Amino acid sequence: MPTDPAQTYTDLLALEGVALEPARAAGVAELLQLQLETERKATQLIAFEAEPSGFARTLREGAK
Amino acid sequence: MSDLLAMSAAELARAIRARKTSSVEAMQAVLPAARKAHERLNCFVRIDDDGALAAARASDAAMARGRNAGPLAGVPMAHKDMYYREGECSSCGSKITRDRPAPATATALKRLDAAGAVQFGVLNMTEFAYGPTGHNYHWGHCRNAWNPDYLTGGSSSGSGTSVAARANFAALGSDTGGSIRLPSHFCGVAGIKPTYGRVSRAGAMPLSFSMDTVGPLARTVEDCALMLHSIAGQDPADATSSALPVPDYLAGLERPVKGQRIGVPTAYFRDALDPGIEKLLDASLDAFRSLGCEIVDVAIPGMDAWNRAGTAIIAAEAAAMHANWLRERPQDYSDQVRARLEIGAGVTAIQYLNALRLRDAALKTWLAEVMSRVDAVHAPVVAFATPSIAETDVGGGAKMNELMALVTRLMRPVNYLGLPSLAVPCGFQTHGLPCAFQLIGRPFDEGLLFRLGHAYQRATDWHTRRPTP
Repeated sequence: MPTDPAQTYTDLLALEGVALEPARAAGVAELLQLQLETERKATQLIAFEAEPSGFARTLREGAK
Repeated sequence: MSDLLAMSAAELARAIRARKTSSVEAMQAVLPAARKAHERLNCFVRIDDDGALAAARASDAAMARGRNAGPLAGVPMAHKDMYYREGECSSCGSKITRDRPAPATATALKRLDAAGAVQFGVLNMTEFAYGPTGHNYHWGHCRNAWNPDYLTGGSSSGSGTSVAARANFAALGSDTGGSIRLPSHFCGVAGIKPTYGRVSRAGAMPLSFSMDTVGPLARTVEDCALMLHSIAGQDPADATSSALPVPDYLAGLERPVKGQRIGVPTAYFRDALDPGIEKLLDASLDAFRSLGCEIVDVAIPGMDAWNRAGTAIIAAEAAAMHANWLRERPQDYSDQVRARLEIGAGVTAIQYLNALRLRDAALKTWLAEVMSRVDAVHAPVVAFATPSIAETDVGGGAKMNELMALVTRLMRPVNYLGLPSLAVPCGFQTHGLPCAFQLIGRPFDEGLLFRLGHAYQRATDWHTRRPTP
């Protein structure tokens, strides 16, 4: 992990052309790290072949 | 207050059809009520008296000629200011689009026009529909009709409070992470977040194309059924709109609900629930028992992960759509919306795509483990007592993430799963602010939710209570 996630995140957004308010950088970096941890756990639950389009079919087939 | 203003939209439509009143009379009653409510609640962005009266006169004239003008003929309505009407400006609650004429009319508005509804204004909302509390730092905060110091909920803030104040008969809202159900709860009105794809999103301001839904807030469940029936159905202008036929929600409304199984979540939804809200929810379950419904406990899987996955999708999609404005005019966003868009700009492609890939498995799990056991799930909309506007005025500061997560916690997983959910008022908290429960159903089973909600409203009178003007 980077030693200063807030700075890394600020730099990443700068590359995207978005100027992040310095006062918000630490809070944003913390939230995104939490999101990344959740994504790692959640991704273990899905099949290798899973793709987003399956959702619309399941929604339709889930109707009574 | 005029007797006309005490009517629901469905009652008014019936009275107009029966020539007991007219669209002009209804409009003449609602326009001053709207102006008066706006002074106290800051709920309207624009009211068009002359245009509305002319449209009401045209509606009455069409009816006098015997023309079948539709199920909502002559009913005055104002809608969240994010439904485009060709050539008119929709502020979307923002500074950025307030002077930007819309290229085309929203399908939902076209269908309400075809059903005979008469639009008289547009309503305040959270900036770009990206906030659950009802604060708006450009147009001023919207205020709760039951106590103007308290939250309306958002983002359909003006829709909720104008209907509660009897200054509007029904309103379109939108729900990406609770934006119909939250104002319904906080303002004490009914609201339906339909199944993803049930209503066309064409011509509605996008926030998150994978999660956005269009639906009404109204005084009664019957009104919601009438409104949804008028706007639902496939639309060539929205590729995500469903081809499944739209049932006649009103025809099925009076069917008995005896024997329906209502699930009460044993985890997540009732965690850390405010005792006052718990009491009101339990009383509503007693009412369903009295109607012959079977109330059963049901285990709810996966909600934390689904909530977070939904959050990542909305954040990423909103940031992608706002990328140009975020680069070129960041100063024109409020701190709060700008801060939330900045978070979305940092969501990785892997996070976003895996949140979308997980969605199918999540829905399959929900259908197999929950909807195989019950017909609908009964849950709170929020877990905490309604706070004041001042208490929740966190802007884009350090407390923002915590507040957003708290308010949307019981909402967002439902959007992630794409399910329909109906919010129904069920009483008042100890400080006099309303409370609602949500009924979550199977995909495209809005009809059953309406039946259950309507039966509940026939057995109770919470929906008839109105705030002091």
